[in-house]
Amino acid sequence: MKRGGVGGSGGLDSIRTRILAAIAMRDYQHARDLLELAEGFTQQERDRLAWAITAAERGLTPFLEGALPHIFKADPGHFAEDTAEARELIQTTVTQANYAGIREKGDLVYARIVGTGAQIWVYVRDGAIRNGGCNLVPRSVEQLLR
Amino acid sequence: MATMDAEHAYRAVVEFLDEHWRRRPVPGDFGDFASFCSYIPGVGTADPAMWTDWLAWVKKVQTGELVPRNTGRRGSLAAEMMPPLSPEQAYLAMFAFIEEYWSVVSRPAEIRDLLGRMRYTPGAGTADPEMWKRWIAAVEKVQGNR
Repeated sequence: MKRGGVGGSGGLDSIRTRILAAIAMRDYQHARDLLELAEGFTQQERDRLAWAITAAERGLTPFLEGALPHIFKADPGHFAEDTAEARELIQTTVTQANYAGIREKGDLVYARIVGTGAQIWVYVRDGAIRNGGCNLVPRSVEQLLR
Repeated sequence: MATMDAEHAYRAVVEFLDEHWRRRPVPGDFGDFASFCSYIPGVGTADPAMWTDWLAWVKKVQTGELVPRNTGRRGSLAAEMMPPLSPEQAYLAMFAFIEEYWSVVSRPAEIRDLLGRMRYTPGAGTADPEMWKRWIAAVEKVQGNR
């Protein structure tokens, strides 16, 4: 028997909004249920939302939604695509161990070197990720803070 | 006033943004943008994509051709490819560079207000005459430091 899915009449934007609202309400199980029942998402979008639920559950610093089109783009120093993996690399960089310092204009900077030798860099202000990406040639802490 | 190469013009952009910041040094959407734009000679911009975004708008002002963002093609731009700019050309490139960022990050009011004051009409100048004065001061400061 076909399960009752969501996604038709309300549209994917509406479901996405409901999932994000459930995350904001810390009702993670409801967010997972909505995602499981949703139809029409690409696998990439489904993985990204699943990661968003996990990240919120783990208390990781969230992205500022409006900054996402700047953060994920095929340009130097950035991840070309907005994937769950790229989000995880950025969000898990925001830890005390990776804290580099504060920039003059108020952004907290976090950075770490990953297995490939690349450097993940993240700017945080007011509890949200405002920018971040991946430097193939790592920069020094002094350079990151200037 | 003498022309500038694309790097010196960018230094004038940074000086212009920093002057605006110094007048109201409150962390926010403008401060984020100005922070991402900061420039270390020989290293690049704090957010590496800001440099190639700048060069894309310099090229657009000079040739009419815009290398589109988020295509991976801006990474191949280099300052040496650009002829020198007049202060007016550099101002127009700066305006478009800021406007593109503003439109990508959900059009924050703080940057919209700045753009409103900066808007330039050939023959009439900037909407707020103070903006052109500050721009010329920024250009002179950079040219004086050469």
